[in-house]
Amino acid sequence: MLDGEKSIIEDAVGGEASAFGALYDHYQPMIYRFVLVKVGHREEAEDLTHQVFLSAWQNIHGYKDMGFPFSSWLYKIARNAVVDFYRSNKEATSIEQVNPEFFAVPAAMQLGMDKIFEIDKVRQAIKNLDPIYQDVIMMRFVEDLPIREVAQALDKSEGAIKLIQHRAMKKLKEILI
Amino acid sequence: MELEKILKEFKNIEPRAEFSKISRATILATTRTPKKTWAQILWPSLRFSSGALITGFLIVIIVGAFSTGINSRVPLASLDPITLKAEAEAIDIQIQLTALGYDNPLQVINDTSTPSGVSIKKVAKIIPTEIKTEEGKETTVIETEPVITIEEALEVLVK
Amino acid sequence: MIKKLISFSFLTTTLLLGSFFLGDTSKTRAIEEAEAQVFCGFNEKLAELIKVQTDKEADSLQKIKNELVVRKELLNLIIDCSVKEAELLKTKLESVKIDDKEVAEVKEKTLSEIDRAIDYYEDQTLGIKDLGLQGSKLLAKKILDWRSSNYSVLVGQTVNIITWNNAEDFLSVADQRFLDVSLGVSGIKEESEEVSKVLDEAKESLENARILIASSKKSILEFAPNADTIEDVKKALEELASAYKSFFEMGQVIKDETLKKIE
Repeated sequence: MLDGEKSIIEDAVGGEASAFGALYDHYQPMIYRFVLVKVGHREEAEDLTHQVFLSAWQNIHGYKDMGFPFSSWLYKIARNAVVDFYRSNKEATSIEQVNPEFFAVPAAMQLGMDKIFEIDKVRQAIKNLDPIYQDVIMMRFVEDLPIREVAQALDKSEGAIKLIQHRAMKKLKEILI
Repeated sequence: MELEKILKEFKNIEPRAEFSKISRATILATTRTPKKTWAQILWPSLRFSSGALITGFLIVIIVGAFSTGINSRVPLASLDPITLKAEAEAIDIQIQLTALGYDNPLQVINDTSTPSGVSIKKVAKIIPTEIKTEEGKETTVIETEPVITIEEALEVLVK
Repeated sequence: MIKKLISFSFLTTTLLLGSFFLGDTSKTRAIEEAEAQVFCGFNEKLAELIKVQTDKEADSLQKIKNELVVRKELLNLIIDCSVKEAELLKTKLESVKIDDKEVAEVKEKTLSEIDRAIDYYEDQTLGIKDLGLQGSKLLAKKILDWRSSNYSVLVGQTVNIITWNNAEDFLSVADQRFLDVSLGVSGIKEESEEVSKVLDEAKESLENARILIASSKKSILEFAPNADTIEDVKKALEELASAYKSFFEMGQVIKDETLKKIE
């Protein structure tokens, strides 16, 4: 969560572009990663990420703080965007080959190609999971979000998330063997 | 676990800086909610002022048309002189009306029609012009009956 | 040369000013419009009052009776006009769409106060028929004082809300214009000091306008209309006008920079 997020959100709801800009800066990489893992292509991930934040900005006047983190709202928008994307792109997308451009340049240089290859293998495996498993893995293991936040984003109980998390990791390991 | 460590590395996946910059700027430049156009803001006042109040406070520079072919990076749409001029003139009119409101608050209220088209402008009959000549020149004299305000009428009754 | 034989009349003055700009045919149109809109004409009734007060033929008792009749008619006319004025005030304020929650609340409060003012006027008519001469004078004084202390505040507050809201809307349009311009020049801003300078000037003007509008909002929220409120709004609009000057200047600067590149 962003420092002073509550007040930043209030400002953004009130129409302050700079406040929404701060939210964008903080959450955009997270949403991009989430979407990229699901669609597998950088360009499409960029388009969808852009759509998510555009939609968020245009609808933020209706956002109400119900005690849920802002990220939960963004993830909901992102999930819907991906669903719509698959509805209108019914052809199976081929698994994209390893693309170092997925990574921030300094990280790519540090990690080395072996590591990048390994990460990409896992990414492709995640893409083969059920959508809900993908979501939980990304939010819990990549973004380190607390179970409560994940539960709120996915409209599930915390207990359900714990169970899904366990099953998702088990399934992922099976695919990777 | 090894898998969990690899998943942590996913955090190194980031969007391209150029994409982020353009996406952010484009989104923030988008109108968030339908905003009134300058015409909608000013229409009630425009019906009153209709050309009488543009006093030239703002020196409107009519910029000539730009050439579009030379440099495609030149931002033309956002600096379209016709739109800029219209917006600037609308502000100019509003400045005059605000000054009017400062001096004569009731003017702001009374100068536009009510929805029913009825106004309560407190105006007595205005006598049409007489034309007089003065040393061979035509002059125009406008005479009116004095207009009595509510306050003035009450003051007469107080006596 | 135009010779004006008018007392301080808001609309008449403005119509005359308008006629300077609009020309002869419009002057006639303006006069016709004004005549069509006569509504609260007190002149005839006041003339009647003077007539009965100076009537040499009637005896003193009849004079008093006649005067009282006219006074009561005039009081009813004044109150009727005052109610219509307040209703117009209310209509104007109701029609203003305010996005700001705090000011919107003040708008509702002001509307309630205007309703109370209308009730006040209507209450005053109840006792008119039973008034004597002295009573009619006291009632006139009472309404006069009330208008001065209460009603003028409502008028001021309404005007402030309307002008503030207009300024807010203009600021939104100008902000949008600034964003569009900034985005458009983002590519060349780094290469041109002049472009950067003009953009900063526009930004500063917008910020000044924002501060002034916020300041005028404060007195609206406090329900304390004063001359400073409108003055701040006026200054804010002048700052917005400066921002537009910068936008125009930007167009010229870009044109010049572009031409330099070709040479």
